Amino acid sequence: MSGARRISGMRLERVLPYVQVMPLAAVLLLFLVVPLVFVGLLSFWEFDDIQYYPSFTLANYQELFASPLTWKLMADTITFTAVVWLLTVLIGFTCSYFLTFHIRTLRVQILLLLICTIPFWTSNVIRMISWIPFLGKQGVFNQGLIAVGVIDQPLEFLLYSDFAVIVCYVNLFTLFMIVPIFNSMVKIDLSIIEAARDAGANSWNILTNIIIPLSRSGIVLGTIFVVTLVMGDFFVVKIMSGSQSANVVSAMKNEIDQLYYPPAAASAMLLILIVVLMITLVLRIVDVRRELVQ
Amino acid sequence: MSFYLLAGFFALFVLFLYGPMSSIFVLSFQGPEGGLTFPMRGVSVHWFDVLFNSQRGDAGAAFRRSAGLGLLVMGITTLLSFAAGLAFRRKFVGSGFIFYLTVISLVMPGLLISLGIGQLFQIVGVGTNWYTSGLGAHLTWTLPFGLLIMFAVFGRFSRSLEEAARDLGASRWKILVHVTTPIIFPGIIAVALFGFTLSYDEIARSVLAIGTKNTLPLEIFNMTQNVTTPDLYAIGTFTTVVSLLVILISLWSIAFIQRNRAGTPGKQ
Amino acid sequence: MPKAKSGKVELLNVIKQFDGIKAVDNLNLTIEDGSYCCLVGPSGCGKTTILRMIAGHEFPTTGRIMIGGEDVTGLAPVERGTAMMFQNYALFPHLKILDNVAFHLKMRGVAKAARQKRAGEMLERVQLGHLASRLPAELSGGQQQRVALARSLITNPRVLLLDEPLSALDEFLRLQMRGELKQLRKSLDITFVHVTHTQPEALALADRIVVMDHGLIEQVGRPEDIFNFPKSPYVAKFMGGQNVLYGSVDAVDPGDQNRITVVQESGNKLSAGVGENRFKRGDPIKLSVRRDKVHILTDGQAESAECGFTNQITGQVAGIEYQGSYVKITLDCNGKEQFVINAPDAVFFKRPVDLGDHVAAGWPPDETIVLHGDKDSSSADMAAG
Repeated sequence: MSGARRISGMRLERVLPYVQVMPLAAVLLLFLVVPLVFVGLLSFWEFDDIQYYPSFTLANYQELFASPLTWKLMADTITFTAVVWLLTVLIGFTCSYFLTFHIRTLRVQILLLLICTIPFWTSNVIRMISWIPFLGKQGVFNQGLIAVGVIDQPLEFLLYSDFAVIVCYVNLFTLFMIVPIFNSMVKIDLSIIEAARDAGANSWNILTNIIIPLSRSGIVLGTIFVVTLVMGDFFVVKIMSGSQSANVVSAMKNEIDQLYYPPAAASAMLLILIVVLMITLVLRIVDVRRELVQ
Repeated sequence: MSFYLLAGFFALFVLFLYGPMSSIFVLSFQGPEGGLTFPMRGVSVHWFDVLFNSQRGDAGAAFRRSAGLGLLVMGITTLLSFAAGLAFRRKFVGSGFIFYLTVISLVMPGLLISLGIGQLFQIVGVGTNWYTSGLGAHLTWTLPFGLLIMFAVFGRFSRSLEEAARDLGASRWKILVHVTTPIIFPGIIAVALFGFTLSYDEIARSVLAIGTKNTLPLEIFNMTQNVTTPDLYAIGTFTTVVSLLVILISLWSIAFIQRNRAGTPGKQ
Repeated sequence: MPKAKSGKVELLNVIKQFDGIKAVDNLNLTIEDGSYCCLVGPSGCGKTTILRMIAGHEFPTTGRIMIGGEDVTGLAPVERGTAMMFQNYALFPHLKILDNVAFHLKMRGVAKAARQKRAGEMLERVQLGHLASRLPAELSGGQQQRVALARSLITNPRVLLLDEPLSALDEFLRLQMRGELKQLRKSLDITFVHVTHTQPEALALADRIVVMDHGLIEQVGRPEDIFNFPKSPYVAKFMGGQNVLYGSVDAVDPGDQNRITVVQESGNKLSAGVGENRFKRGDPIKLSVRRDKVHILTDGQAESAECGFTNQITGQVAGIEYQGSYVKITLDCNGKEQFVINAPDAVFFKRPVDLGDHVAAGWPPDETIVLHGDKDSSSADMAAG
């Protein structure tokens, strides 16, 4: 009797994790894997400007790679991503540095970090459109500058321009840098910094030899977030540029709006490939689970 | 000196973060003659009235749909993340793969998932709807956050508490209900907060998978393209206030639990 | 001797406040060049703060710090010629062992090949040459400690500062490292300042001990002096090995002003020599006697003065702990202060006592020490073994 119970207990122990993880795995399978595989299939379907139907053609890919527009979109996407990445890393690192090394009490640290993260839980569209009354011709910024006397004509490039797109991206995504960088920076033992100072390191040496290397995993994680968010955006780039700029995903959205599904699926596959490669690489550099636990 | 420089930088960043948001908050109270930019032409709640009582839009219904979907996503995310978090405490075949899928789900551009789900549901013939395809699409966004939070929570959770409960004769289920869950409850609230707010504000994953009836963010998104009056800001103020309320309630309950625990002797 | 090389450390009227609380209170201390000085005291007594001020990781609120005769009060650590070994070693987790040791040379702009060669030699010196390409996390605690030592020594310090260097090691490694520190001390002509809360460590290593409490120095002296002649009840209790007895002066020997009789609250009388100090009848007084100088007396011994154990105390045996070479016997005297006797095991087992027995214990009056000061901190009770 007790022997049987012991065996069933051990079996339960072994089966339980599968039961517990099953619902999550099922959702991901049904709503992530299957749809993306389906996008893959769709990219090979035939398409004749009016409708699309199951088939196997490489035409969508041929068109995608043959079009100079694809490469221009790619280049623009990369440019946006690079500029935003640089700005968010600089701002995120500086803010984390301030929070970690200049704020003494844990309570204040948490409070200031919360102030940085609260917008994360609010709507991105709202945060985006809130720049319109700010940057517009009649906007707060221009009127302020005119009032002070720096300019006498409103600056036109502030809104509906690449500048506006980048300002908006930085506004939306910097907190995705701050949180992971802060998380790895705050784990740096202060005595390590004192040891470096003992060894003759000045503030710059400490920054480059100790703090930056030890914040690396946070920077990498933040980078992944910012890069995929900028790459995946389709409305900031459209609205804030006044439809003058585009990136791969916003172009894809245009194709979808015109019901050009198979070509859109082909560009989607290209993006999926890039994202999967990037993630595989990053998971090799950083142990995300350990980052979270420690 | 470097402190003041950095503090100044940080203050500027906070201003950069909140300044524009506060300007639309102010502008949403424009008088009936006011426009999308300063100056204010009187102060009124006219645009809130336009928003909810005009025939043009569907803001009230959209809000109810968004809130309903958010609550649904919140519940499912909390439950599934908690269960999966428990599973990941042991080694099991395929754990690496599921974790990998979770990370992919987190960083995959939402529009691609939206496209896949939308098309799949169309082709299969089920049709898209907010409580089917829309729900699934949102879960691919909230579950990764939920699971990662659970990792962080269980990483700090001492196994010996459960072992002690087992030594004292508690069954597996009783341990879960009386020991594990109460201790990690602040983490569960955090998962719920992410679940609701991420779904409530989501656009990319909704846009092709939500069906014909819009959620609130989609409604706002559409308004940005064709509305040139301050009711756009009114809806912005409204939805931000909802988000802030949810955040406040969540943070307050987490702080409340922590404070109660700190007050109990023998707990650190 | 070139003055600039001297490792003499002086603290002059140093006060250090944290948020209005004095961690170090008007401290004056001179640590001679080439000495091994241990700062001991319970946690929070200010000893680590002193070390960090010498290192330049904290600055005194007021007062000056001199090293080798020059004022270093506001100088950065590297300009002081000090090197600190941290309690948790503070190895750079992202750098290989070799690069950890070579870090100082890198900061000074030494070329890569040259600095790696010197670091390699230093690693050989601490017998870790074979681990040069490992990361700190891949080393055991003892090995990490040696790396930390090597990293400190490569700066050619004139003062080596050690912050609880042995506290993270297990007993076996602790004794081994203690030996190695002694060796190192012999081979290097530099000053060692070592912070510890463990009395045996201080006794074993130091040639000068500074006992601290609440930001103040209680006593400075050679280890044997501190141990045998504690100044105050606090030092006696903290350094351990002593019994502290309370009473008041009953009489001063009319023939010898040096000799007094002390009466305890219980009426028990003890005799002691007071040295330079003068007392009058009724003065409160504290005495101490080393645990190992006290003997458990037979009835015959207790009666006769011949054996010389004329200072006596009686009590009930409340504890017997076998410690290997000796047995620790705790007596309960009137339910108040506990009195401890360390008896050699051979003596104890020849005539054992049992829990609950009423016994008399005695010692020669000359072993009685008169304590000064009223410092009687409870923190010392906690720390004493």
